[in-house]
Amino acid sequence: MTLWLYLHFPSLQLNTLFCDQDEQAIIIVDGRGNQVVQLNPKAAESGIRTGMGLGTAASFCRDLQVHAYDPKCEQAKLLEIAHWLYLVTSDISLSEPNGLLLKVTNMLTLYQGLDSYWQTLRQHLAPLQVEYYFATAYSPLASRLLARAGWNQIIEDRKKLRAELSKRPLFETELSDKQLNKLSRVGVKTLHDLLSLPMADITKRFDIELVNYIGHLTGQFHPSIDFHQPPEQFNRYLELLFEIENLQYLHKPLFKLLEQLEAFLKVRDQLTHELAITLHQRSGDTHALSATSAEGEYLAQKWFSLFELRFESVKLTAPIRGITLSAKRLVSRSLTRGAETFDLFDGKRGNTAPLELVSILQAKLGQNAVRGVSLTDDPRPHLSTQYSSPLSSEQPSLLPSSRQHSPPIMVNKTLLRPSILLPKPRPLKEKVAIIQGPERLATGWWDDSPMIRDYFIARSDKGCWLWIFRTPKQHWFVHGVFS
Amino acid sequence: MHNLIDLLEQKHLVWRGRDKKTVADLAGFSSKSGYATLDEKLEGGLPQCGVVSLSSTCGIGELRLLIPTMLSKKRLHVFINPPGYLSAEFLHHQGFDLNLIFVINTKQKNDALWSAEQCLKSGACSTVLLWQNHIEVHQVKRLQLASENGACLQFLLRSTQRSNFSLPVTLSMELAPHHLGIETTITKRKGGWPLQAFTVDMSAYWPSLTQRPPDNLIPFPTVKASNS
Repeated sequence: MTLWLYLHFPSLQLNTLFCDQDEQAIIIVDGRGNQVVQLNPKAAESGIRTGMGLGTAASFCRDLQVHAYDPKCEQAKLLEIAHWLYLVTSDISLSEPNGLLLKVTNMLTLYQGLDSYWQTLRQHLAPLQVEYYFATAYSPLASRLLARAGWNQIIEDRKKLRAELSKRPLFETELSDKQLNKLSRVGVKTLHDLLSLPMADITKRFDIELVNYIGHLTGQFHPSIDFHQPPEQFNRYLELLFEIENLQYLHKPLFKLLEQLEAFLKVRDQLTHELAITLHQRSGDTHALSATSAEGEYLAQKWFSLFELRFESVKLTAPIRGITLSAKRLVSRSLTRGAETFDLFDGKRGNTAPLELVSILQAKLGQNAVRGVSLTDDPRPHLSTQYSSPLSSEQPSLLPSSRQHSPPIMVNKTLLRPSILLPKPRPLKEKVAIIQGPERLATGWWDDSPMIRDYFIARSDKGCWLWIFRTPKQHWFVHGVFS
Repeated sequence: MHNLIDLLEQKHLVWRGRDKKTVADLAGFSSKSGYATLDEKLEGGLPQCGVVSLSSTCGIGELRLLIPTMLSKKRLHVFINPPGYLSAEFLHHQGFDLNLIFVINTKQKNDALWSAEQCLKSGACSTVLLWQNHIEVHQVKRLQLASENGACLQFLLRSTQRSNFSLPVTLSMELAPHHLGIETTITKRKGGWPLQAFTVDMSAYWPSLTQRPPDNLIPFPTVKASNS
């Protein structure tokens, strides 16, 4: 028989809220039943219990913070926990809204025993800071029953498990009220009573559902369970406790999300090139921001500083309720980091790689403010230089063949060109002496801007070296300077 | 008396200005500029890191003066707010790896200084060229520190306007046009005295951009050629 472990998260939504939970009493109320479903220790201290109505709870505590129960929020968090646990255990089944079922038997060989398996699991769960109950049993239903009751024990002993299960009163099971009623009428109050009845009698007297339930509970019937396979992407939502109007206050919750990202990427040995943040505003609008790192990065601190720069140019129109962080492109780290080399004798100076520097600059100044320079084979001087995305050919050559295909650009090295070209040629107005020339450029007939110009190198009276040209109409212009 | 000076010297409380070795060590003027005259006058070459201020009119060859220095370095070269488009052809002719060059154009003045600082301290760049006329003392100090941090040389290109106070730069030069190259005046340098104007001969690098005998000038046509 297989051993199952069930994790029950009694206050999942409470744990997802971003706040210092010790300072204020917080309760989560289910709107439909008007019942307190989750509460923090501070609220419990003041006498509030789950199942109370909102009015009763409010009368216990003066400054109570009330949140509406949101099943979607719990689902998302449960998925997140499942993804996180998937790193250490293989078979996970979601039991919505607030439980996870793990198949233990398969993992025992790997972890050499139940104790070390549980230790690993516990340590892995610790950074998530969620409250949970747990129990093992030889059937999914039994482990769920024990975990929900808060039994909190991890054992393999069949007899002990059976004894523990027998002790449970019937109302803790998932039987319907009708069935419970029927059973109590014949004097069956605990599971012990129920399980000691012969199966044949139960079949004769009660309906098939109860038989099924007992079969699943004792592990005689094998349930069909869908195991969860997490997708390989990062997309998290963080609900903020307060509405935030000042972006400065957003730094802390954002950093929390980035740390989760760091953990996510680190265990997978991956980097991401682009992160997108969506700020959910009270008005219902969303504000999307993104930051890119050309080099690829996983460290929370590095991403944080990029977003700090991005925030400088953001103006909020309404307070923010929540943040979503999603990673756009994930790449394996070994692919990108190998190319980086440092000179052994020069040492590592500073600690920013070229691509990282470009990301920092582009984050603040905008993509188009930072450009690389590339050469084209157009003979027209103003088209022969092209501003391109910086360091483009230094990026990890994923397609090394693409670069080899383009033929090398032939440049006539005997031609002297000015270092700086004016954005637009300006009419020549000063007195100059021609030193060299002419060099006739009559070209560009293949597109809409043909040109015929005679270029000269000239020196002005002030001593500036200019690159001037004459048009067929004998107009003179300055096009560049030999700075 | 003599003993006292010896004692102070041992404790590095008194520093001998004439001691050439110390001068070179102190500011690291050891990066060959490529021009023999300049190297000789600076007792070694341009500094390894720090801020070098060049004031000149645009187009007399101030950038060409720096090209050999830049070519000898293997990391990135950053051009911030150049007074026009940087010509890829020119850089290619000089032998630059175009992948190591990038240009930053900023809209605000402080952004230019900020990017210069980022580039300097990153350690990924070997030279940063910044075209900016007005700069204040504390801003130069920041650039100076960043440049030491990242072992990167900062060139500050300014137009010729005499500022009434001196900036805390490592080396400050005033450049004037000369038919053989550039007439250079060292107005300030770390660990040394200012120097009188001397001529840096650029004819070895730029034979077509120097005028050796001034008699083969072609006079510019003063009378406009008729279109008929």
